[in-house]
Amino acid sequence: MQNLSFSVRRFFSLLLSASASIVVWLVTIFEDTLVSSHLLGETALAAYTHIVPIYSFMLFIGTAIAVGSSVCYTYEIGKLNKERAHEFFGQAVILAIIAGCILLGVNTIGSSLVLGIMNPTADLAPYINQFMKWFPWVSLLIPLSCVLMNMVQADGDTRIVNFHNGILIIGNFLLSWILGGKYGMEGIVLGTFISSLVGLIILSLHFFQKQNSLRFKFHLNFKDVLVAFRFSAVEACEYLYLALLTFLLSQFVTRYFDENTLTTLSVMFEGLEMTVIFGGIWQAAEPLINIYRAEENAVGIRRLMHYVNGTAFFEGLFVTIGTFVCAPLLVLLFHIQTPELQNSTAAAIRIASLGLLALAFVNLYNNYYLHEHPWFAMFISAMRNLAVPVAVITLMGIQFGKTGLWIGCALAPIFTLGLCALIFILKFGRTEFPLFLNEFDQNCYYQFDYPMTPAAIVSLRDQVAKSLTIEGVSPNIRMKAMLLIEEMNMAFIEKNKGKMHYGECSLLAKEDSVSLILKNSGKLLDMTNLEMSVSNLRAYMVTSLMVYQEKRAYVLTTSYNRHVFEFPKA
Amino acid sequence: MEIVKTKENSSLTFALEGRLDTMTAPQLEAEVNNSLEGVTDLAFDFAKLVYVSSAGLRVLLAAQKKMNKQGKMEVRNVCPEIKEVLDVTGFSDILTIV
Repeated sequence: MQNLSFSVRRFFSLLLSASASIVVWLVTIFEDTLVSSHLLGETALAAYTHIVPIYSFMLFIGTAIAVGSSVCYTYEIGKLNKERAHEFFGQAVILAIIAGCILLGVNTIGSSLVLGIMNPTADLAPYINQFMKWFPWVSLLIPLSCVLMNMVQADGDTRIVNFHNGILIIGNFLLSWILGGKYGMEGIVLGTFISSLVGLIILSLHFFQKQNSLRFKFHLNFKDVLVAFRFSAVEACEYLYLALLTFLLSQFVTRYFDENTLTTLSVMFEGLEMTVIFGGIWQAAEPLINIYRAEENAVGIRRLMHYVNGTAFFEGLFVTIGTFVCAPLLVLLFHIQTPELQNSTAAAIRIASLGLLALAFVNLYNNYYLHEHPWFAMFISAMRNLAVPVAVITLMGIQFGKTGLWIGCALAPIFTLGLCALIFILKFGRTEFPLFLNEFDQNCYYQFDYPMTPAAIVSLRDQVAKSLTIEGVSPNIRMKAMLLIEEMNMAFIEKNKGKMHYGECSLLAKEDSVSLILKNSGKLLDMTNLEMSVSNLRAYMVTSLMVYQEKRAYVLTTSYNRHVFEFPKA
Repeated sequence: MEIVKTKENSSLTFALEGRLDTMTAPQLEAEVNNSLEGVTDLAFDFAKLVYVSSAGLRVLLAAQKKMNKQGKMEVRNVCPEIKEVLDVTGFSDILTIV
C-alpha cells in the first residue's frame, strides 16, 4: 500500500462507492421484490415480475443521460475546459428533469395504457394498480438521481455517494417494510419514493462541499446531446441485446429441452444481472483515465490500467469462487422447491460461473474502448451480449445436451475475450493492443509519484530538473519549475499538517514548450490565485512566481488539486 | 549542500555549494546563528550555489536583519538564474548583491 501511486490510491478510494452505486438501484428493486413476497405473498411477487421491466426502462433512461454526460464532463475537466464541462453538467441536469417530467406524465396519464401493454391476470391487476399510484413520482426522481450519482462520483465525493447508497439501501428496506405492512403494495412504492427523495437531497449536499467542482450552467444543444449519448449508446444497446438474448435462448430451450431447463436458464439470467458489479471497476477508473486521456498521458494510463486489470482479476476470481460456493443458496433464493431441480440448477450455476473471470475483463475493456472507439465498443457489446453467447450456447446445447448449455454459458465470455482480442489485433495492429496508446506514446512524458514529505519533494524536484535538462530546457525556466515544485508542495505540507498525503507530478515535453502538472490530495488550495493570503515567506514566494507565470491553471478534479503550468523551453 | 566558513577578524564569509533548500537551509541557519557574534562584515558567496528556495531566502533575511544591527552583509557571485529569483521576489532590493 505504501508504494501505491497517487492515481492508484484515488482509484481504490473510488472503487467501493462506484461498485455500490452501480448495484444500488438493482438492490432497491430486489428489496422491494423481497418485501412484497414476504408481506403480501406470491401473487404480489408475480405482480412485481411485471413491474421490474418498467423499473429497468426508467433506469435505462437515467443511465443513458448520466453515463455519457459524466464521460464528457471528466474529459473536459481533464482538458482544462471548465466552462464546457459545466455545460455538459447543466445539460445532463436539464435532460434528467425533462425526462423525469415526461416519465411522470406518461406513468400518471398513461398508466392504463401501461397496464394494457402488461396485460396482467385479474388477481395481479390490483397490485399493479396500487404500485402505479406512487411509481410515477419515483420515475420523476430516477433520471435526476442517476445523473447526480454519476456526477458526484465523477467529482470524487465518495463520502456523499456512500452515504446516499447506504440511505437508499437501508432506508428503502426499512420504509418498504414498515409502509408495506400498513398500506400494502402502495406502501412499498411510497417507501422507495421517500428513500430516493432523501437520497437525492443527500446527493445535493455535495454542492455545499468545498471540493465541489460541479457548476450548473444552463445549456441544451442538440449536437452536445448527441455527443453525450454517443457514450451512452453501448449501454443502451446492452439492454436491447440482453432482451434479444433472453428471447432467443428461451425459444431455443423451450423447443429442444424441458421446462426445468427453462427455469434454470431464468435463474441464470437473474444471476447475470448481478455481474453488473464488474462495471464498478470501470466507473471508479473512468474519471482518472479520462483526465489522463485529456492530458495525452500514456504513462499514467498504463500505470493505472495495471492496477485496474489486477482489480478486475481479483474481483472476477472472488465472484467466481463466491458463486461456485454459494450456488445452492442462490437457488434457494429463487424459491426453487424440487430437490432434483435445486441440484441441477446449482450445478448449472457452478459450471457457468467459470466464465465470470473472462466476463470481468470483457466488461472492463468494452467500457475502456467506449471513449476512443465507440464503434468497436459497440461491436464488443454485440459480441458479448448477443452473438457469441447465442452461437456458443446453442451449439454446445445441440452437441452435448443440457450440460452443454451450461458449459456454453461458461465458454461464451472466454470466446468473446479471445475473439475480440484477435479482431483488435487484426484491425488495429499489435502495437495498439490493448490500450490504443500509440498516438499518446509519441508524447514525451515523465511521471513521478511521491509521498508529500520534504525529502521526497526535494528528490522529486531534482528528478524533474534532470528531465528538464534532458529536454533542453533553459536554466532559468528549469529553476522556475524546480521552485514551483518545492514551494507549492511544501506549502501543501504546511496546510495539511499531521496527515500523510500523496502527489503526482507529470511533465509533458513538446517541441518548444513543457507542461508541468501537479496533482495532490489533501486540503483544496488554488495556488494560482493571486488573491491568496500571504502569511509567510513561502506563500509570498509562490505568489511571486505566479505573477510571472502567465500560463497557469488550477482545476479541481475529482476532489483533488490539479495545477497545470506551461513554460517555453527557452 | 556544502558550507565553507572563512573568518578573518570581524569578517565572515560563507561559501555555499549545491542547493539551498528546505532540507539544507536549517544547516546554514544553525551555522549562521552560531557564528555571528562579533562579526561586522558578513558575506555569502554564491559562486557554486545553483539553487535557492524560500527556505534559503528566509535564512538570508534573518541574517540581514541581524547584520543591520551589527554591521553589513552582502551576497556575492550570484548566478543569473538565482539573480532572477531574487529579482522576482524583490529580495534584490533588500539584500546587497555584488
